[in-house]
Amino acid sequence: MLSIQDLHARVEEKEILKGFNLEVKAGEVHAIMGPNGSGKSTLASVLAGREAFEVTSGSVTFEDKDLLELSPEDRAREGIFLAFQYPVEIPGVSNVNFLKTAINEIREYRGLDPIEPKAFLDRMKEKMNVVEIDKKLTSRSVNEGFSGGEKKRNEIFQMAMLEPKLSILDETDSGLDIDALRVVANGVNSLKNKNNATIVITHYQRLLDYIVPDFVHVLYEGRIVKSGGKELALELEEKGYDWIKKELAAV
Amino acid sequence: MNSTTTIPLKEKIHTDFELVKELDLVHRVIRDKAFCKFASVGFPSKRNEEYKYTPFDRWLNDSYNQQLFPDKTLEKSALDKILKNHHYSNAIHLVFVNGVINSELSNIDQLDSSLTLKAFQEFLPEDKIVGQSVLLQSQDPFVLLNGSFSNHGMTISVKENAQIDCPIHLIFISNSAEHTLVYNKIAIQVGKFAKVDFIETQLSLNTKESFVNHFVEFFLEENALANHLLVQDLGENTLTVNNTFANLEKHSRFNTSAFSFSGKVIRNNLSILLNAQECEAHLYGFYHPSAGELMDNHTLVDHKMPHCFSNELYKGVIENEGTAVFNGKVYVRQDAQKTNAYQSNKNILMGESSVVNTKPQLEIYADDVKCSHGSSTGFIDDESMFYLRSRGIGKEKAKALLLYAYAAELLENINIEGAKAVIEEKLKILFGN
Repeated sequence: MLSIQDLHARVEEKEILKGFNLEVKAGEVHAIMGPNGSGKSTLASVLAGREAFEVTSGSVTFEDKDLLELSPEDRAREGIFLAFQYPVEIPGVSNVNFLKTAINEIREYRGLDPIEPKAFLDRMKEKMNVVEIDKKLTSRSVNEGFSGGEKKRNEIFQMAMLEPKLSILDETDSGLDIDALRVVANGVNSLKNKNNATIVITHYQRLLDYIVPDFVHVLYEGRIVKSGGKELALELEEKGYDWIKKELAAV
Repeated sequence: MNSTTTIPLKEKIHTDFELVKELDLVHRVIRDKAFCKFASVGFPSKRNEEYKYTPFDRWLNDSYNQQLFPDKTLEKSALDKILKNHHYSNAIHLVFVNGVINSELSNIDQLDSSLTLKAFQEFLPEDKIVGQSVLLQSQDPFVLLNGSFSNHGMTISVKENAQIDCPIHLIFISNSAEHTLVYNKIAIQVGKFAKVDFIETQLSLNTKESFVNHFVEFFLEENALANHLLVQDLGENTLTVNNTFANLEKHSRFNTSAFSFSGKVIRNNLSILLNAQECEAHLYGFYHPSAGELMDNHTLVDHKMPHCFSNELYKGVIENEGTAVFNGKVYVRQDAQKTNAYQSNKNILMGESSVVNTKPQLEIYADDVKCSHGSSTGFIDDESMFYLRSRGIGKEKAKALLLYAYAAELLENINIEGAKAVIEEKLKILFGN
């Protein structure tokens, strides 16, 4: 589904990703862990198409398409979804109007007619249950006045509504209490199927208690330095990132 | 008077005035005073602090014609066409063409019986409600010019306790094929405990650059309520100065919202005078200058007495090479204790060559008051744009959603039945929603 090869990217003059490789297949959950400043959020931003990030070399292929050639909206229309670390508040744009517009723009790109109002409402109702989001929140402006937890929950709600092929969760666990964490993770798990994939980017292991990854990768200084199964996350939690740093220094 | 000479307005205005004076003996004294004062002030240049960014002396060089008896005719079909996007289904129309009421195009007969109309010719110099008091105090050259030259105004009085259901739609159309000066003059008196809604629509069919000198004065008696909506869609051939005054007496309320959609130069002077205790004023404004257009809003809220409330919000979207000006004065006089006064001005610049000059100006002489003001100017928020695009919404659509949401906040102050939906629709179309 997604193939990233030898990716180099920089912000302003600073190179952050220095030869990043990753292969993701349908049905898989990958966790990318790493200390602060290792390039986790840069990776998410580059995949979503944020303009401030410049790819200097390497390739990203998503379902046989060159992802780096696509605008942010076309990436979303192809089926990529980024759950933001810091979701933006947009006063005056209602959640409902926002989601309907997004769904219809995606449908238009795929050559489909606009969604029927009834089908839209049904989908809203169904997905609201999945992520346990309050009707009061969905009827308000996008994220306006939401608490940190509500914003993250709204990200997962949007993900549920848009039904992406590949979801990238950028530090979705940061700032969440344990209840919100459980709800967000349940949402992600219940949306999982054999046709979609998820990349979970996180600093801490605790989210991975709830969203169990098939693969864990350790990102350090812009590259993946270690990959393994879910047990790698536990090992990291126990030994800390210094363990990786020492191991690398020894090589 | 419809001379085709090419003497610049600045020079010929003196001889023009001699003619007006001779025609109208009733108002001669007041005209004289106003013109005398105008002559000492002159057309404002850059050096005039109040007109620093809108120096009309630069634009009023052509030989504009004064029309003492303007042509008020207009084909019904032309009116229908121009009003297509300004239709308020439940409103009573009063149509003014080049400053003169056109009775055939208006539905005067449908007006509520508690309303009285009176033409300028019936004004008496001692009438309180024809703007004479403002006239003699004002330093504004265009208030003074209006007082010197306007000949076809109208007063509208609303009886005590009257609750007028249908909004009154004042439609001002300037229609000229040569450089012309148009004077509009309206005075509105709202009696005690009366409630009334006014919609003002300013339009233009001018084929040559013309200047509209617009003057409206409200007098709100005790406990009166007036809702006011102003829509300006003047196109490329019209310059205007719009002076609006609202005088509020005890417990009265004035809600005004101005939407400036188009016009070569628009200068709005809105002055709200809170003359007694416990008055309330809400003033909202939206302006959208396109390339080559200039829109300037100068507002004044004068808190003279205690326990009054005022809330002001002006928002602009300035297209590339468009220019906007905002100056918001709030005076809180020494006697005006327990005043609540809020002001906010926000601007979105659409291009590198969009210009805005904004200046909040609060002067507070009382010590027990709550006042705040704020001003912000910037481009469309990149983070919001990226957020919407990352959900599959295209760049243009995302921009449309954000701009509409930004402008839609101003709909909240429109309390006139049926009018909110009309403006909402106009904003949606404007931003491509």
